[in-house]
Amino acid sequence: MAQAVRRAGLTLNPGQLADLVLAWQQLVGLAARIPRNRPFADDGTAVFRLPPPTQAAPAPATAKKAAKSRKAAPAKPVARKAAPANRKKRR
Amino acid sequence: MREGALHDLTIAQAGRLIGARKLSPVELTRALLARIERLDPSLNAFLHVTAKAALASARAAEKAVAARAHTPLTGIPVAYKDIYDTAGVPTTAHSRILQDNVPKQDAETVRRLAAAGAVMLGKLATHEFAIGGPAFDLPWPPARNPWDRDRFTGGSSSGSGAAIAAGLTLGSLGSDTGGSIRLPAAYCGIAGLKPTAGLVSRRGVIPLSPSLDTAGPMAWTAEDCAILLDAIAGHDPADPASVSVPGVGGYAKGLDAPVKGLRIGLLRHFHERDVPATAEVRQMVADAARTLERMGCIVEEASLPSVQDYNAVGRLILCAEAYALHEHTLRTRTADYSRTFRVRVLGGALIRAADYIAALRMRSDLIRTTAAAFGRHDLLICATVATPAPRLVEQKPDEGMGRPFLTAPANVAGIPALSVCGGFSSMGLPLGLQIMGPAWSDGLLLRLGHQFEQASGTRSRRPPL
Repeated sequence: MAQAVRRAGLTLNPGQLADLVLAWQQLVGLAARIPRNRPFADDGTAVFRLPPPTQAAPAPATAKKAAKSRKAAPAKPVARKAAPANRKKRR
Repeated sequence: MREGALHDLTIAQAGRLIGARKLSPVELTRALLARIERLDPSLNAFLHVTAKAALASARAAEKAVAARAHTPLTGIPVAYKDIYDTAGVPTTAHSRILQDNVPKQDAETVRRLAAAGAVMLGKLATHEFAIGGPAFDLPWPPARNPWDRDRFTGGSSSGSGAAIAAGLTLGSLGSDTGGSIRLPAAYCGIAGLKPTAGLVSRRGVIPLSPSLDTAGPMAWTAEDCAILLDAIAGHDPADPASVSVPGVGGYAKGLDAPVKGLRIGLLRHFHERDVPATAEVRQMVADAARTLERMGCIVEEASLPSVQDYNAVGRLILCAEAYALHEHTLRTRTADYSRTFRVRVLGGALIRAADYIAALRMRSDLIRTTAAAFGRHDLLICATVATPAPRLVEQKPDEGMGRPFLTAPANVAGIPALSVCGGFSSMGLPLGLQIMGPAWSDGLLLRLGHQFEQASGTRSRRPPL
């Protein structure tokens, strides 16, 4: 225990160390209730979800040329639709 | 109005009187400040009283009412658990570590209540950093229960529970990571809502365990909690955990909608097998179930995984995350924390990454299982606590690690949970009834809680002060 405490960068007096032992015994009991034999693929807990884009990515140059030649209006940026809804929620 | 009656007003009643110009916010604020001065020395609910600023806010509220620019919270005295940032007012987390901390900005929820016209009376006692208490080795003593001053208030929003029950403030904001709003609500005989995770901004609230923390309202009644929630709920783009959901608000307006036909699941195994409750608590839950049936609800047996499973997951996550937040100061200022804080958090230094991740994975299972239960039931009920408030001196530093809390499931599952006063013990101590619902059903919880309070008649009884 003393080694683990040193590795954690803590300097504890004997009373504080005794308190840590007490707490650690409780935590070991809690950890024992948690199952470990789960399938390898079963992990949705560490998903890092990036927010959706708020501004439309610029169209590729070739697509711009083709659109110009067809005299078609450029694609509407996503942000134009999203922005008013976001503003509405703010207080 | 007669001064003696002012502290017994609910937020709803006071708001109506202020709006009708039958009650002056200055008169109400003065009455509560006088009551704080008289009673708080024996209750220790307040860490800081901001009397001068409160009277200035009350005068501003009076002008707003005169200009008919008021809200249901204009001129309503409130106070904050001392982990809410308040610009220019010390925010200590009831700890020596932050004894000199004075934030420059208000927490987002404090800002919203101030914008609604609420009057801040001061800052309230908490367990150190919302976990280390009750403790007698800190610069301030722990709060005491107004129903019996030798008894525990519950925590960690201890000052909030005590101050509302004693009529020192009409409302408060607390925080709930494992039950810290609902436990003091139950022991102090008031109402407290742990909202759905993401409904209320936590920006400017000192964190304990960021994946479990929620901020929420506490007041004498569920109706008052609804009024406070109307002001504080809603998306905050600067809080990464805040969720933008449609239909937020209107909680107070929806309180009288019908509850007839609601399917209520009774989680009997929670307080009979998992955390055996006293006979009086069991009787209170049985009586509450009968009251709900008389109100037209359909009460059926329900079950969830064991409270011990939720508790193990919640405690491991909390301990690991709290240690990570306090690692630097625990290394450099170990002795400045209370012994209770150290016992509850230092163990986080030794939790392995694999244990923490295993807890997160099991949490995902519990979230799914809990959500599935709401396919069969609209809401679930059980006791909030297994006993009435214990004696303050009986509280041990490792409390809650060995003995699980009935409040833990809602934190682990992220769902809303409301504690209302369900009845009283033979010694006259309040007993808490907990109502849980699926995510975003906060309004339905408050509706059932409000109508239950009216049907059970528990709100007419005040602490003998």
